[in-house]
Amino acid sequence: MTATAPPDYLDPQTLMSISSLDLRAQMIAEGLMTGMHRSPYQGVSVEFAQHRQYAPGDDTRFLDWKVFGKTDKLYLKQYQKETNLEMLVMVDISGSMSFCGGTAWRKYDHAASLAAAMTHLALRQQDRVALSLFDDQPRRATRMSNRQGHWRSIVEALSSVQIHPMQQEGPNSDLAGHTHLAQVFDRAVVKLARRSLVVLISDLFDDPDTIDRGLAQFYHHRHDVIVMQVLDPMELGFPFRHPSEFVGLEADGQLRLDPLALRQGYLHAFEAHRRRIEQACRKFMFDYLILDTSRSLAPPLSSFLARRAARVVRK
Amino acid sequence: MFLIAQISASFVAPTLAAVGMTAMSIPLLIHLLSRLRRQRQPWAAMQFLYEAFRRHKRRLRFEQWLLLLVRCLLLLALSLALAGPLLTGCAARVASGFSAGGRAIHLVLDDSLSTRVLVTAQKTRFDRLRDTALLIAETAEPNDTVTLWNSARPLLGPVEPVVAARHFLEKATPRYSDSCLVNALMSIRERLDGRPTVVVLLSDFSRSVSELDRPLPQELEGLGKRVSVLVSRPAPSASNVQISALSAQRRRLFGRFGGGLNVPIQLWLRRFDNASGEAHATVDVMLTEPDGDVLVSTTRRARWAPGQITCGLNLDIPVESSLRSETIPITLTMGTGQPLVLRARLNPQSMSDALKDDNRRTFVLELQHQMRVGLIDELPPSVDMSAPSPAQWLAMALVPLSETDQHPLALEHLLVADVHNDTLGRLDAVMVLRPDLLTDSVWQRLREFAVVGGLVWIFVPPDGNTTLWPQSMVQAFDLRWEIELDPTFSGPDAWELNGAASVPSPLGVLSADWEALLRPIRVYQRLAVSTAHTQRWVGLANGGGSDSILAVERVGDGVVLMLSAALDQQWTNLPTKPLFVPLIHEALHGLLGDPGVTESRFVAGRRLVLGRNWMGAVRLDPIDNSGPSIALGVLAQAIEGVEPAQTPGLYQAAEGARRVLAVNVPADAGDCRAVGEKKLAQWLDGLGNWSFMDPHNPGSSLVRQAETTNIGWGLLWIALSLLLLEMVLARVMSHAVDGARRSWTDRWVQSFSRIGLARKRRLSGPSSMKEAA
Repeated sequence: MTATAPPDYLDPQTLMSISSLDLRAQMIAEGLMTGMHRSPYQGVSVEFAQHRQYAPGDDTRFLDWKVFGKTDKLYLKQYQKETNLEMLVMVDISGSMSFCGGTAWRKYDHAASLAAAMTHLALRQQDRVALSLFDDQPRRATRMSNRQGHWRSIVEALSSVQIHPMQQEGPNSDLAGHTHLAQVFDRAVVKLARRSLVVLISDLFDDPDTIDRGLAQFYHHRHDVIVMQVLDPMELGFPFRHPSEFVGLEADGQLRLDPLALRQGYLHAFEAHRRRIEQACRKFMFDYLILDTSRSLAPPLSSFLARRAARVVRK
Repeated sequence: MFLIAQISASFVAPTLAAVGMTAMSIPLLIHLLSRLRRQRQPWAAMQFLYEAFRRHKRRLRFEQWLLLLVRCLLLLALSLALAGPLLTGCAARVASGFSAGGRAIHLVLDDSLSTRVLVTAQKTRFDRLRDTALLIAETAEPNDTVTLWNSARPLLGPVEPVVAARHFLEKATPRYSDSCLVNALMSIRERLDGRPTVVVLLSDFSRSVSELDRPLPQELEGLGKRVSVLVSRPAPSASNVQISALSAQRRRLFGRFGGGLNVPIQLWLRRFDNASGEAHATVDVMLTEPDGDVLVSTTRRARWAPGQITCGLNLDIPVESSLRSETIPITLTMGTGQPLVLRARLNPQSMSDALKDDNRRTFVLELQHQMRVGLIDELPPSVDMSAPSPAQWLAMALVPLSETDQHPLALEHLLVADVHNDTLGRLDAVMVLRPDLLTDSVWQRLREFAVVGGLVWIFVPPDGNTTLWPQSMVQAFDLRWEIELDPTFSGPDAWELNGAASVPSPLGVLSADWEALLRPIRVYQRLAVSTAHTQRWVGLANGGGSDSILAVERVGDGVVLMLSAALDQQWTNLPTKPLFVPLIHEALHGLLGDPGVTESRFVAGRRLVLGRNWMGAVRLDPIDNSGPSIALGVLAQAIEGVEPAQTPGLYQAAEGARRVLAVNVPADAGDCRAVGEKKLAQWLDGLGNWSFMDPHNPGSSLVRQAETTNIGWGLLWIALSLLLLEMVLARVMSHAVDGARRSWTDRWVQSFSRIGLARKRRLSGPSSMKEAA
C-alpha cells in the first residue's frame, strides 16, 4: 500500500456542505483512516476484550482467523490494555467562537467537527471519552464512557449548542458567553480522576497568564494536553481596508477605526499573545496547534493520533 | 453687499475663490461621510484591537488630523491660486518683496501725427494723452521711478526722473512722424531690472500705427508676464483727407524760363473715412522759389467716386518767367541748378478733415540752363558728312548746328587724353565712342563721375577691335552684365528690335509710338550683352532672350548705358531712323532728371540719406526757420543726417552745393481711423498679461497696481508643496502599508490605470476578457 494524499473531504469547504455533524465526523474519521498505512490503534495485551470489525489499515496480525473461517467476515481481536485511555475534549462555545470571516464556516463549526471526529476515532478504539463545552464556565458535559451510543450523545451535545454573540456590552463585561479559562480548567482538573489526555479546542482569547496557570494544573496532575487554537484567517491576517466599526462578540464593546492604520499594532499584539501560549505549552511539553478554519483538518487529527499512540506506548 | 464687493475686488477671479472655499470642505465631507458609511464588522479578537488602539491612539489621531489639514489646505491653496488673490498694502509689498525699492513706471506717450487730431475745440488727442500721463506721474509714489518714452519716430530717449518727466510733459507737443510703439517697448525691455515694473501705453491706437498689422517681435512675447501692462483705450475714429504724394516726372529740368518748358506733375490724394459717398476737394498747386515767391499757380478740382479712397491728378505746370526770376543769376555748381519748389495745398471744402498738417506737400525741382554732354573719341570730329562717324551721328542728333548757342544742351568733344576729373566735373553726361582706347585710370575716373550722379553712355567702336575693354568696363563699374568679346553677326536676316516689351519709364514720352519707332530698326552685328530683365531697355525680337541692345544699370547716384551695336551702317541702321534723336534726348533727360525714390524718403521722423552729389554739405538749415538745423555726416560713402528731420519743410544746405530738399509728413501717419479694440487686444495678447486703464479714472489703475500684488503663483507653489507633503505623509504614516498606499495621488493614478485597463480589455475582445478573468 502506498500513502495517499489527504482526501478532499477533510477540507472545510467540503465539510461545510454537510449539515449533519455526526456524518461529518464519520467522514473525517474514515477519510483519515483510509490514508494511513497502518492503524495507530494497536495495542498489545493478553486479556481479550472484544471483537471489532476489520477496517482497512488495521494490522492483519490481529485478525481472528477462526471467526473468519466460521462467518467469512474479518474481525480483529482486541485486548483490554488498549482501551484504558481516557480523553477529555474541551470545546469552547464562547461568543468569539461564532466568528466567521466572510463564510458560513464558524470557528465553532471547525472545532465541533474536529471534536466529533476525534471522539469517534477514540471510541472506535474503546477509549473512554468525555466532552466538555464551556465559555466562562463549563456549560455542558458528558460523562467519561466508551460504551456504544456514547458518541451519539457527544454529537448531540455538540449539535445542540447555540452560540449567542453579545455585542452590546463593554470590554469589561462579565456576563456568560465570555471566555474565562481559569474557572474552566479548575473544574476540569477536579473532574479527571485518572491520567487523561485533554484536548482543548478554543480560540484562547483570554489572558495568557490564566491559560498558563490552567495548563500548569493539568501538568501537575500528570495529564497530557493538546492545545488546539482555532482561528479564522481574518484574525490571522487582519486584511481589512476600509474604515469600519468593529463590534466585539463577547460583549466587549465596539471600536471605530481605520484598520489599515492599526493593522501593524494588531498583528503585533496578536503575535505576542500567540507566543505566550506557545511558550506555556512548550514549557509543559504539551502540543500546541493553530487551526486555520480555512485549512484542512488532517494535520490536527494526525497530531492527535500520534500523541495518542505515544501515550499508549508510554503506558 | 459692500463686503462681497470688497472681497470680489481682492481676487482676479472671485468665482474661483468661492469655489476654492467650497472645495476646502470636500475632505471634511469625505471624512464625515466615511464615518456615516462605516460598516459594522463583528469581531472576535477585540482584545488585540483594544491593545493596539490604546498604544497608538494619540499618534493615529495626530496623523489623521494632519492629513486632513494638509488635504484641506491643498484644495484651498490650489483654488485660491487659480483665483489670483490680490494682496494690498503692506502685505502686498512684503509678498512682492519691494518694500523699499518702489516700482519702475514707464510711460509710453504717443506723440505721432495722428494725435494732432482735435477732440474738442481746444484739445487734441495728444493733450488728453498728456493729461493722463501727468495724472499717472502725479499718482506715482515717492519711491517710484517714472520714465517717459515717446513713441513717434525718432525715439527721443527716456526722460527721467519724475520731475523732469513732468516738466517735459507740460511743454511737449505732438510731432509729425508716425508712431513706433515696438521700438519703445524694446527699449523698455532692455532697461528692465529686478524691480516691479508698470508699463503704461498711452496712444490713440489709430490705424496709422502700422505695427498693429504685424505680430509682435519675438523678443517682446511674454513681456506682460514680467511687467504690468496698462493700455489706454483706442480713440474714436476721425475722418481725414490728405495729399499722400507729390512728384514731378523729372526732378532736373534743362532749359530756360519761358522757353516752353513744362513740369509734368503727379499728385495723389487720399481720404480716410468710410468712403461711402462722393467727395470733392480742390488743390492749389504752385511753382515757387525756395523763399516762397510764387512763379506759377493753378487750382485743380479732385473728385472721389463712392468707394474710391485714392484720387490721382496729373497736370503740367509751365515754367513761366516772372519779373524777379528773370533777374536771378543762375549759379551752376557741378551738376546743380536753380532750385524751384512745387507746393500743393489741399482745400477739403465739404469733406471732413480731422488733420490739417498733411494737407500740404512740397517737392523740389532743379532748373538747369544747359545740359553738358561730353563725347570721348579717338580724333576730333571730321567734316566729311558722306560717311558720318559715330561722333558725327551723335553730334547731329544732340545739337542741331543752327541752335548751338541757345540750345539747352551743350556738347563738348574730348579726346581720351583729355578725360580728367576737372573735365568731367563740368559735365552732366559722357558718351564714350572708343572704349577700347580707355586705360584703367580713365575707367576709374568715369566710375567716380557716375557715382556722384553723372551719366556714362558706352558705344561699341565700329572697327570692332577685339580687345578686353568690355571686361575693363564691367570691372570698373561693377556691372552684372555678361559681354562677349567678339561681335556676333546676324546673317542674311537682320535682327529686329522687340517693340512688344514695356517702355522704360525715363522714355515714357515715347511710349505712344514705341513699337512704330522700333519697327524699322535693323541690327546686323552686335556684341552680345546678357543682362537682367530690369536692365534691358531694348532687346532683340528674334535674338537671344536675355540679350540687350540698350542696357542700363545704376552706379552710385548715376547710371551707365551701353548700346551694343556701333553707330555704323555695318552694325545697325539706328542712326538713320527716326528713333535715334528722341532716344538719345529722352534717355539723357529721363535719366538725369529721374526723381528716383530719394524724395519720398525725406519724411519727418526718418533719417535723411542724401546722394553723393551732396558732398561738401555739412548742415541743413530750415529755410523758413520752422525747425532745428540738421547736421550731416558722411556715412558709408553717402551723406546722411546725423539726426532725423523732425519738422516738415524746406531745408537748404548750409555750405557746399546750393541744394534744397523738402521734408514732408509721412502720408500713412495721417490715418486717424480707430483700430478696433478686438484687433488691439489680439496684438496686445502677444505681450501676455495686460489690461485697459479706466478711461474715467486712469490713476486708479496705477494705484491698484501699486497696492496690490497677485500671489497666485506663490500659492500655486504652496499647493504643489502641499501635494508633495500629502504624498509623503500618506506613505510614511501608519495607515500606509505595502500594497495599500492611501495617497490621493496614488488613488487617482490607480483609478486612471484601472479605467485604461478596462478599456483595453473591451477593445481587445472576449479572448482577453477570458484571460483577464
